[in-house]
Amino acid sequence: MDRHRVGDQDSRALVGWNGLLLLLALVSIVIITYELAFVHQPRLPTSVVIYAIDTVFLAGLWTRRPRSPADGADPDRSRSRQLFGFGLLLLGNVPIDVLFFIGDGELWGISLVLWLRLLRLLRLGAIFELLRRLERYSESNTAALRILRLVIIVFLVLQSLTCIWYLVPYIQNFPSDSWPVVEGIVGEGAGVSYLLSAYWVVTTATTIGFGDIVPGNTDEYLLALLVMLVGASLFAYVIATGASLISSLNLSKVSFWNRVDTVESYLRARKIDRSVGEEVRRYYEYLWDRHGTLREDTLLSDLPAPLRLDVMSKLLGDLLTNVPVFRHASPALRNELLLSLEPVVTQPGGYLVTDGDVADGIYFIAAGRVEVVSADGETVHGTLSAGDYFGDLTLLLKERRSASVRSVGFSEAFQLDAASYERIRSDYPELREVLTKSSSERSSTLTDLVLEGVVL
Amino acid sequence: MEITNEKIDEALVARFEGSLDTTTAPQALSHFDALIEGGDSTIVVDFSSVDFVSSAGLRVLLATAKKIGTSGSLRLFGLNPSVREVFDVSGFSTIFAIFDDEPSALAG
Repeated sequence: MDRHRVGDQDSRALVGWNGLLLLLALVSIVIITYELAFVHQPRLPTSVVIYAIDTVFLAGLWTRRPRSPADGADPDRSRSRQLFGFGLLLLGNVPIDVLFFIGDGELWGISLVLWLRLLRLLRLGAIFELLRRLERYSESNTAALRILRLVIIVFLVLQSLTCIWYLVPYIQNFPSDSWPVVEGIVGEGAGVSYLLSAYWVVTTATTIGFGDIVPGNTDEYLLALLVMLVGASLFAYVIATGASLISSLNLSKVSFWNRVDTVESYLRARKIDRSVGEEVRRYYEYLWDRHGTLREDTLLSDLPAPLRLDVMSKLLGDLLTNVPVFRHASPALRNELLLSLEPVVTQPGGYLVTDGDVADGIYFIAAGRVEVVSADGETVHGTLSAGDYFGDLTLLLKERRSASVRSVGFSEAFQLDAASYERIRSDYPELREVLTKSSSERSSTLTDLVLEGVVL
Repeated sequence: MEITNEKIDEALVARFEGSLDTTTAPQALSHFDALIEGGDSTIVVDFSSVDFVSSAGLRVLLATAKKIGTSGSLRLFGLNPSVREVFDVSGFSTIFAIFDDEPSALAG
């Protein structure tokens, strides 16, 4: 247990750290592109933020500096690839632009400092790497992370288009037919230009196109073409991904209830009594509430045995603690039983076994109450509950059952079938001892039943 | 089914021979009833020559143990492995006193 808890904390810390890095990378990219396109000169507060983020990334980089290549890998190749990757990372994170604060260098009316800061766009690779890592560490919520990835992609594409849409007329020194001049926003604040530019990009990319801001010259027409093409593909991608995400968000629930609907419509088509249909639905509702699937054991059948054991013992843990034979068993026998016990869920009024049955195994009751009744169901001989088991006498004596067992509410039992009993008994001689121990936790009902001539 | 009685000190040893099943159970039951009515409260049953016990046989043994109650005891010995398994798995081995051989059964 403790091992798992530590693991949880570790992975939670990793998710937090990688989430923070992701946020910082995004913030730095937004600030850098915004300042380049709309402010044109570095400002002190944003510079501080950017260099602070650089520091965090450089610190993270130090922990990932290239080390000796892994065993078995081609040393030369993996070394050079590692170095290349590391070089790129370095280029994207080292604030080379600081050097250009001296000298007021400009290109197309924009400070060289800002142009050089574009190297931080190399962090885009880091953003997707971080998303992959988050997916790996957080285990659950992969759907939420896929939505996050989608939102980030859309946002980054729209952000770059917004910057380009304003940057092009700016670099051309605002020709009289360019859109900022037509709209009369030249000289207005960077915020207004950004807002209008983003507004045009979004209306165009989403194919809404109000037409209140229009391209004015050939360069802008070309840009508009680009935005329309990119936008249309982008939103097609968004809608397709969104649809597939929504349908897969709760795949297990959908497939479970689809199955229930299939059964119900079949029953209706075959004109089965409504009350039976309702009983069937109640059974499925119980299964969904308590187990969340139709058959836990078959669902897990893909897993290798050790992992399946681990998962099953966690899933069935609460139920199995109610079964004495399981509590008294050694770990090895418990594993054997886990793989052999068949869960049996019985609906109210349903029969676990019936009078005259040939012994098919031992039933361990884990939850709920069952009644031992006569063949016609009229006489109740006794009640069994969690911790009790039956079926051992008929199994060992090779007799037929002389009574039926009916579930009062919903009940859960585990059946150890005759073949498994024989096999486990010869492989694990302790089984007999374990059963003897468990028998002391049985209610006296079974002894009374034998006295009444009832054999289960 | 053959049943022979032998009085050893305070205990009465009933030696069973054959199968204790539906057909022989009534005979065994009336035999035990007679012993209890005759005042025997410590009954030792020799199962060495019993090859099979059915649920009806178990019922006879349970009923007898119940009749004797706390005033005496019903002791069994010489159970063959398959019969012993039935007793162990069902938990009846905790209701009866089961011994491996006659001397330990007599010693209690």
